Amino acid sequence: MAGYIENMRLSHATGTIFCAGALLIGRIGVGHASDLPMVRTITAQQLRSAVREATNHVVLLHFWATWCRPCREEFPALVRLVKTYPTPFFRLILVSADAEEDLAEAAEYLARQGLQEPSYLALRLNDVFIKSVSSEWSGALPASFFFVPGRGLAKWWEGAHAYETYAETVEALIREQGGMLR
Amino acid sequence: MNRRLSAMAATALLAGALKVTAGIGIGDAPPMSDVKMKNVDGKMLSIKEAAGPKGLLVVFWCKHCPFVKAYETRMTALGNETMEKGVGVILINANDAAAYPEDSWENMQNQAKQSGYRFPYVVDETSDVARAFGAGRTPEAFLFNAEMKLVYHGAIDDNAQRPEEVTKSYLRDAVTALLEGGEIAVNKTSSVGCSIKFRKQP
Repeated sequence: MAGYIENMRLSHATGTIFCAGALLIGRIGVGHASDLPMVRTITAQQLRSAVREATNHVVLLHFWATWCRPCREEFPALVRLVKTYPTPFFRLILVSADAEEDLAEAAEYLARQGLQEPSYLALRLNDVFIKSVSSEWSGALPASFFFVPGRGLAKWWEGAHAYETYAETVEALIREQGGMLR
Repeated sequence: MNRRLSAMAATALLAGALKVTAGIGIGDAPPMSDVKMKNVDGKMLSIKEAAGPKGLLVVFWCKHCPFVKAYETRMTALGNETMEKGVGVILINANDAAAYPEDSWENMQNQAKQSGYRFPYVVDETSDVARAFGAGRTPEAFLFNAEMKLVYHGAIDDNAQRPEEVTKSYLRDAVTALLEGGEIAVNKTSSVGCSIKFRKQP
């Protein structure tokens, strides 16, 4: 419990820093057709490595698709999340379930949403791929998986959620990781 | 937020990490099997009536979903073959057509005709049948044996986008095993699909 309180104190400090950071870093996203974000194809195995490599942050691994209406409806919440909780505290890894042929369409969608960060498009997004992310995920979209350093998958859900739900979750996990995010 | 509240929030967050999925499991009977649903031929049909002597294949289906479109040819072929072999087939559209006009009954009729379905394709007008099955997306398959026990639930195969690169035909293999009395090696698979747009409950 002592350790926990110490973490809380640290998290107050980090909270202040990253609020200031958010103001400074706050990206202005204007997507130009000629300036599309990079969307790379990724296999289940490559994605596992990418998540593993990224977990010195709180990571949100998010599956979506341009054809998925609930995904599109909640997408502004994700954009706001990235802008509110910038690296090194938080990282959003987007994985599109669009067909490989629709890669450009996915990139254009991301640009229109104001996201310039590189992201992925899942190759062979089948039972094996889905189970490699979580044995409990049915495959429904959108799907969100929160990873924290040292503990792996901390929370996940299927279906669209409000910005507040995302923000509360990210914030609680960042706070939990307070000591490690200095 | 004070510290105690933060701690409680963190605990609640972690406790919520596991999600329980409702619906039927392997060995269960099809729920709401007496409910009559409108078929594309205009007649009313229940799940029980759609069953064949050797079993029943229920697939949650629709028109608008790109994954359904990707499986249209494969589903038509497998559905028609399965019917001929004595396993009943019924496709169910549980999407709220008010939200997805492309999933209207008229469009379903065209879809069935163009693809050449020789099996029923019905509307779940309340989306309650889908809810009772625990179906969440399209396409999502449920295969029952002659005793009307669920023997397979999940994906059609392991490659939605590229039929030529399919290595595991889960549903076809399950149907074959059912007909030949063999064991269904993989009885539950996950797949990406379009979330069913459930009609609101009154």
